[in-house]
Order: sequence, then structure tokens, then C-alpha cells
Amino acid sequence: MKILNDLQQDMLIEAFNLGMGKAAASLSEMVQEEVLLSVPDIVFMNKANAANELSNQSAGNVSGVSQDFSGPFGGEALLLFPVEKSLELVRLLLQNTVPLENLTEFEEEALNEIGNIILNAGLSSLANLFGQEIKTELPYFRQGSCKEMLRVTDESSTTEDVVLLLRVDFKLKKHAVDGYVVFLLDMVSIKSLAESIDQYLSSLSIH
Amino acid sequence: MTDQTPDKNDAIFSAMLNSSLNGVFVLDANYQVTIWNQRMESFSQIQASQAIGEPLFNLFPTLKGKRIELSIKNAIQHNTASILSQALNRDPFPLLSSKDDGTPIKQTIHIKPIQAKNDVRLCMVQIQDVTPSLRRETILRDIANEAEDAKESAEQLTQVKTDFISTVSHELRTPLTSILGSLGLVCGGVTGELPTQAASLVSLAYKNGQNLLLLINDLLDIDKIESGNMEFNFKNTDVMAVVDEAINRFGGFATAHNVTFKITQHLKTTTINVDAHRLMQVMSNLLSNAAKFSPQDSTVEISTSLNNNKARISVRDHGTGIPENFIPKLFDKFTQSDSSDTRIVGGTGLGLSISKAIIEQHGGDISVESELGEGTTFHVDLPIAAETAPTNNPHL
Repeated sequence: MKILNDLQQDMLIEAFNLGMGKAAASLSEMVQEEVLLSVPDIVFMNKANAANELSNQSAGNVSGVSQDFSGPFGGEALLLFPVEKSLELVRLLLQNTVPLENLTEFEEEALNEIGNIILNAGLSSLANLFGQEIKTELPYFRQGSCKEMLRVTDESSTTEDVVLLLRVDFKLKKHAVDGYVVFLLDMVSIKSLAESIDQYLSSLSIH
Repeated sequence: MTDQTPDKNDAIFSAMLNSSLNGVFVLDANYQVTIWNQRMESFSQIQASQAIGEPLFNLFPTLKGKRIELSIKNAIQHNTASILSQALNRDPFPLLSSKDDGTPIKQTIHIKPIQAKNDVRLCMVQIQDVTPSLRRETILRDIANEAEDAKESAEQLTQVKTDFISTVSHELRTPLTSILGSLGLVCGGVTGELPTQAASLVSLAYKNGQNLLLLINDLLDIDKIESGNMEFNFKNTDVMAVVDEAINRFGGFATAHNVTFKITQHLKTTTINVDAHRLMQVMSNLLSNAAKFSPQDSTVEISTSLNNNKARISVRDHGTGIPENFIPKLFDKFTQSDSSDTRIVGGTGLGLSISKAIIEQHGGDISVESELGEGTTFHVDLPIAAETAPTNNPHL
């Protein structure tokens, strides 16, 4: 699904990576260990296809942090990990060694904060790039199948439901955990995003 | 609260704010306090009248340069909501619990931007005291840690025990086999006829050696079962064929104890999928026990029937029976009833335990009925196989 041209896409990736760099710095300071975050690639996809793509990457349910946002473009931002990866990530960061099978209340809360930092970084980088403000709400923890997380219903599998899918590489000490950031946007928001990128590029006189 | 005269909505709002268990305050665009609820007064020991109008970072200078300051500024300047978890932020506000003798509270903090009328920017901060929850979680982790340590110790102990039994049994069996071989030859007359007394002594040594070998073999079987290394070779056979073969092979037990083995009920052709060698081991145990515990000249009855869609083999003796309180322990290792005759009849105390494990590996059950003075019946229930069953069980 081609929503942006190559230049627009590269611009977006760079913006996200700048934001992720700041998020990584925050996390590194919090956990007193080097944390590296990068966004190697982004892709626009039909929501149902995105759910299938994520299901292929993670057998079983996913854990994640959800955050609504609004502004020149609005929707829901999600940070998703396969369930066992979310346990692994949080326990690496908190240095918890007890292998409890489920996230405890405090681990869920910590994952909420990690998600909040990463999602805010992603959205802020867009806002900074375009000189516009994006309002974010408080994050909340969710868990379920990829379809449930992306709110795919039988009625909603249309080309109008597009998501922006980012793979986020999360590296800590000798461990690497892959997660995904998903921006659930409607077509109006997608168009608005494309227009904002174009305006920014115009301001740089680059086409 | 502010000093405006409250109307009805203000009264409701004030009631809701001050009944919250969380500390709640609101800052304006200059980071000055505009709302400070009762819980914040309690946590901070700063009254609303002292807080309102003051810059937050003057009230709490230790917040400067911390993530909380950045998060609050982002809320006002960039409309960004934040959460500061207890696990990743060690209680940035210097707040105390009113309940626990003034100990510092553990905090989870929510920071939310508010856009009021005329684009006025505000920031609401909610502080939740999570000290009790954290205490519970710490206890849970300690219990989980202890359980993990105990499990590890138990597993190590089991492994040590298993290794010990296996090693010792092997080391004992080798020389014992040699001893029995030699004694067997002597008993058999290879060295010529022995004087009566010598013959009696050699025979006694041979019999005790055989009992010792039985014990060692039983120990090795238990070790194999517990370590999951006992191999089975399942094949289809008729249940009556098993019974006939057992009576034929172990008829010597009957002779030795002056009893008769008798089949009292035949099941028509019924196929079971079993490891014949291991099932013979079970039949040997049941028939030898029945013979040992039967009065002389009595009959041990063997029957086959259907029980809940399984093929049942029953072995019944008319001995003294087993005390009711002993029955639950019957299939435990190294267990023998205290009744006086068992000391005469001997046994390793492992036979029934091994039999139970073997039958369970077949997907079956072994059970017992007994009445003092009347006798005991052991039942072995085995799944019925299709005529062309696979050779690999497990449990069909």
C-alpha cells in the first residue's frame, strides 16, 4: 500500500529515529543501563493485514500499551510485544529474576511508562517536525490477540482502515527485543499526515 | 481549594476531589498551584492555603532536574500526558503516609494536560499511594523465591537419590550374579555331592542371594520408572492368553505354597495392547503374593471380566486379608503390612509399587478389595485395543 513516496517515507523514518533516540536516552537514565532504540522501517497497511502480519511475527497473544492522541491527525498509538517478550523486557529493565508467569501490577505499570515514553517520543517527533501540537492521553495496558489489539472486526476490514506500522528494535545489554509501534489512523488523518510532510518538505524546498 | 464562593457544581467538584484517595493538584502555565486536595495536604503536610499560588518547584525543590519536572513541563508546553511508575521512578515527591507513622509513601504518578477555556493550559497531577500493593507484591515475590529454591533443592535431592540407587544397584548386581552362579553350580552338584549340613547351608545362601538379587532388580526397576527410562514394547494380545501364560509360568508359586491356581471366569476374545514381559512381571507379583498369603490347600481364583469398557484381570486369595488402614499405603514403596505372617513370607516391599507404575504406563489401573478374615482381591484394568492397534501405546 503506497501512501507516501520514498522521500516522504525516509523523512518520516528519520523523524521517528530522532524521537526514539531521545526515548532511549530517557530509558537509559532511568534504568542505569544503555538502552538503544531504532526504527528500521515503516509501512502503511490495511488494518486487517497489519493484524495478520503481527500475528505471523508473534505466536499467540501480545501485550501492549495504548495511547489515544489528537491534533492535526488523531487516532490510537500502540506499542506491542509478544506476551513473553513483554515479560522479558520489563524484567530486564527492572532486573526482576523471579519467573512469575504473568506481569505483576507493578510490571504492568512499568510497561505502561515505557510505552508512554516511546509513544510520546514518536508523536513528539512528528509534532516537532511539522511545528504542530499533538495532544496525548494517559497510556493504558492491554493484552489480547493482534486482531483484538488493532480492533479488527469483520465489519472493519476495508481499505479505509489504514495503520502505520513501525518495527522498533529494543536493545538492552546483550538482549534484543523486537516490538511494534502501530498508529491506528483513519484516512482523513493519513491525508493530513501526508499534507504535513509535504508542507515541511516545501519549507525545506526539497521535492 | 480556591477561595471562590462555591456554587453547586463547585461543591460537587470539591467533594469529589477531597474524597479521592489520591493526592491531586493542578498547576497553571507558570507551574503555580491552583488546586491542592486534602490528600495532598495529608501526604505533604502542606496546607492548601500555603500551596495555592506557589510554584510547585519552590514547594518541592528536589523535583528540579528530575523526570517529573520534564513531564510536567511537557504537559503544559506540549499537551503530553505521562505516567511515572513506582518501579522506574523512586518516589520523586517527598510525601509521607498518615497511616504508617509517617513513613515515605511509594508513588505512582499520572500527569495529564488540561485545556481550559480560552486556551488556558493547565496540568493535573495525581499521586497514588501504592505502598500496600508494593508490600503485597514483595511478599508474593519472596514466597515465589522460596518455592523456587525449595523446588530446586527437592529436584537435586531426587537426582542424588536416583543416582545413588542406580550406581549402588549396578555395583551390587555384578558380584552377586557371580556369587549366585557359583552357588547354583554347587547346588546343582557340579562339584559333587555335598555333606547334608553343607548342602543345607549352600542352599540357604543361594536362596538368600536370589532374594537379594530380586531386591536389587526391583530397585533398578523403580529407578527406571521414576527417571522415565523404563521402555515398553506394546503389542496386541488376547487377555486370556496373558492369564493362561501367567498361570503356566508361575505355577511354581502355587506348588511351593500348597495352593491351587484356578481360572473361575473367562472373558471372550478381548484384545489388549501390552508389553508382555512387563505384564508378566505384574502377574508374577500378584500371583506370588496371593500364593504366599493363602492358607494351605486353598484356591487362588483368577478371573477376567469387563469393567467400564476395560478388560479386568482379578486375582483373589482367601488369606487373612489386609487391615483397612493399611490399604491406602499398599502401593507405596517399601511397605508391608505388620501382620505377623509377612515377616515369614518375605518380599522386597516394592512389588506392588512397581506393578502400579507398570499398569499406569499401560493406561490402566490397579486396585484392591480386602476383608479381614475373608481374603484379598487385586484388580488390574487395562484399556481394550482395536483388533489392529498400533504397537506404540501410549494409552491407545
